[in-house]
Amino acid sequence: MSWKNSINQALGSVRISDVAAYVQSTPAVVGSAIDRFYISTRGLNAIGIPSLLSTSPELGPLIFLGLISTTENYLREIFSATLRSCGVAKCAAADHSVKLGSVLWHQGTALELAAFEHLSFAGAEEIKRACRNFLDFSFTQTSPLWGPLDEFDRLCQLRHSVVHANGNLAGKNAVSLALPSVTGRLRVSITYAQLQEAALICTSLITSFNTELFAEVAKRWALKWRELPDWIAANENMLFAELHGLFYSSIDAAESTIQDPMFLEQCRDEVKRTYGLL
Amino acid sequence: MKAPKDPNTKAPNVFVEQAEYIGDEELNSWSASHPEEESILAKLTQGGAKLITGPRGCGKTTLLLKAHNRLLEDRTGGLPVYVNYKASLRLEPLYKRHSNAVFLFNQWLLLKTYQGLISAAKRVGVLQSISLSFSEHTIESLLGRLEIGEVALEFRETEVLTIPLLEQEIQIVLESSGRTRCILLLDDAAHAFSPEQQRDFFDFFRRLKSRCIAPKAAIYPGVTVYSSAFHVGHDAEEIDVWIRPDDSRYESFMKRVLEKRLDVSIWDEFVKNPQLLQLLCYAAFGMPRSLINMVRMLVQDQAGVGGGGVTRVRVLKAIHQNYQNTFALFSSLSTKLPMYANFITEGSKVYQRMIDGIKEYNRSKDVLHQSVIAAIRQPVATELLKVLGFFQYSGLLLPKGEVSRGEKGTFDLYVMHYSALVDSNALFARKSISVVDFVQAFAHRDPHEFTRIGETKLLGKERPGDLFPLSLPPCQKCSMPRSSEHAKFCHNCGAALVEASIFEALVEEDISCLPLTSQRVAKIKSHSRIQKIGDVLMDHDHRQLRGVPQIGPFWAKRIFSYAEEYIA
Repeated sequence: MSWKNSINQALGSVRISDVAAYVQSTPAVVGSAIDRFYISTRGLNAIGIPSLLSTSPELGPLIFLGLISTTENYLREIFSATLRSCGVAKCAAADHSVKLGSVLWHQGTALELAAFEHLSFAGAEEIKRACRNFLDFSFTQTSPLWGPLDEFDRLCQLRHSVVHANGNLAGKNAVSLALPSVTGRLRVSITYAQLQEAALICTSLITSFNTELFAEVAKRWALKWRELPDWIAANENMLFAELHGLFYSSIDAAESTIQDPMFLEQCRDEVKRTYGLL
Repeated sequence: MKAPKDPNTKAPNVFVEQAEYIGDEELNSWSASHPEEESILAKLTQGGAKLITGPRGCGKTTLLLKAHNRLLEDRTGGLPVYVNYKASLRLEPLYKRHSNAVFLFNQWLLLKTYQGLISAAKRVGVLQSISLSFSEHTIESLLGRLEIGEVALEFRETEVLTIPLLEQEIQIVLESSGRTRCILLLDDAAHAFSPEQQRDFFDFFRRLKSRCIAPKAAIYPGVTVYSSAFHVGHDAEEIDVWIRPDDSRYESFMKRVLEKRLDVSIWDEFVKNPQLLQLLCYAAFGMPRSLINMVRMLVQDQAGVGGGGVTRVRVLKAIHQNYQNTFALFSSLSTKLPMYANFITEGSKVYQRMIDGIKEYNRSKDVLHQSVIAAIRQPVATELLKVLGFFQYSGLLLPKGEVSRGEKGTFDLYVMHYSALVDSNALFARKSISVVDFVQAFAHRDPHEFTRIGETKLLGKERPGDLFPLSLPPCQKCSMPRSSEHAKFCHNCGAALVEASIFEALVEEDISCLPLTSQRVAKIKSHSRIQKIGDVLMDHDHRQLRGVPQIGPFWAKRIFSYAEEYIA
């Protein structure tokens, strides 16, 4: 008998029996980052249905985390893809260090990912900083990115409480969200309406980000890349096709939701015309 | 500013209904004093954030402009800055296609306020002696670009206006004019048809409030959506300026409204028929604009009062028309708030049942015990509350608080529009009611007489949720109906669901929805390129309208203002 054992049960020794069973090999990544974001988000939306969410209220916050996570993943993917192809971004990122473990694991195949593995994208400031530091991409409040980033930041305040406090809202998050103070505790509550809204905010951020970063990289292709020592004029079209592929959404194209649909060549010529190359 | 002239007499047109189109001189000489005017103006001219509420035509703009003029005259008072946000719906399409719409709408609000500040600096005579960051021309150009949605991607950083910058500029004008506080009089604020813009407006309003800036905004009852951070009472005091027809000062106020406006010969004609005049005043139901409109019908309908005379038949016809016009405002909500189209269709039936209930109640009552109030037992279904809110916005229903009847429950009281009661013979429940009886019933009614109407009687046996389904557009990709009003993504194909722009739908409406005769509509269509509301709004210089036979500058301006009003 020990007084120490008088307060809760004892379960003995427990360990992960096979850590490999927790992970799964997936095929090589194909298509654009935005399409992968769409696929993930739709998968999450498909399980976040009103009947399920009302009978299992714990599900809402978990799907909500999935939405934030898939948004962060898009950013990591598009950052690394841009870093891989853009000389200007490479210059900006040159002074930043990466974790040796990440480099060893990726072994040169997706080394760019290593740069962002230790970075969080769960917050507007973090995203802005990473844009500046790794892509040399800055924007102000007049940018179409500003509003969606602000809204995403508010979602991230809630995410913090779900991840770290089982949904209990921390004071600093409550203050950031400008919530009126209450006497008791505030808990994050994510039902169907909030989940759908959060999915739309994440999608709005990603579509705006994809458009704005594409515009920036296309501009660099038209202007700055040509001044870099590794520029080969004969590769001009191929390079544009590659960068176009990084950002182009086949899902939006198939669903006819692209505002101004253009073929690749047409788009390339329009970029050239914009920057006086035609 | 001068009031528009009547095409025949060349005199200022006394039937201009909206205060913003009336010149300063006429505003002072034409408008009567609201029964609570001194107390309202005191709140509008001193510190503190205030919201003045009331339906269209109840006198909100008049009071704001009176506060403005009073402050201008009082050199020791605050600096009055009058801003009209009527055109805010023009920005609504940005919310449907631009991710930074909130920023752009905020810029528009700031620019409009800045424009008002420049105008105020001019009025107090200090504009020439100070240096402001933005010129009048720059502000106008930026506003124009925003209103046509052109600047969406090209708003330069140097053109960005912020609240701290606006405060700084206000301070410059305050110091140079020797005034200590700025009173912002924000008219047509919080557009009724765009909840997102309403929320953003209230965030803006809250942030504007400071020690030296006192914002006052005119809003509509029943349909205003506040932002989550805005709390009425804490962030702003609400002032209801809708004049109660049971107020002892009501009749004399309404009569003064007419007396001040009308030519002596016309006024005398009404004075000769005191009961008909009283009936018109009551039928206006606290809205001076309605009264002016009814009198205009009587005066202009048959070449002046002398032509047709102020007769019982013609007055009842004007009251009928007034009810139709007020109800049309309610019905138009099905276009302006399409999601609530079923609320409007079913709401029309609810209103009729309320009138029927009152009619039944009044059948056996004498003249001094007629009821004009519907009492609905609490709790009231959310859907029905929404409908009642729409009635208040249109001016069909005036809330009168609540009354407890012990075990029978607590009831919400709503006064029915007097024109509706007259037009539907809901008083005395018989035809051929004498004008004297109508006036007696309204003037000397017993406040304890009200008609209890159960929710079942109003809605039938159906559940409110089934009776008032929201009209949600299906998925634009797979045509699957939406699963819920909260759905943002199609539950079938996963595509993001697209919301249509209200503004774009309204400007596509045919001009026949404006209060014009069918002959005039036909003439406009056949003699100009104007077919839709948007065409009228695009005709800034009225060139198209002026090309139509029998449309001179007066009518061109009037039709243009009708179109503006339609989207406001």
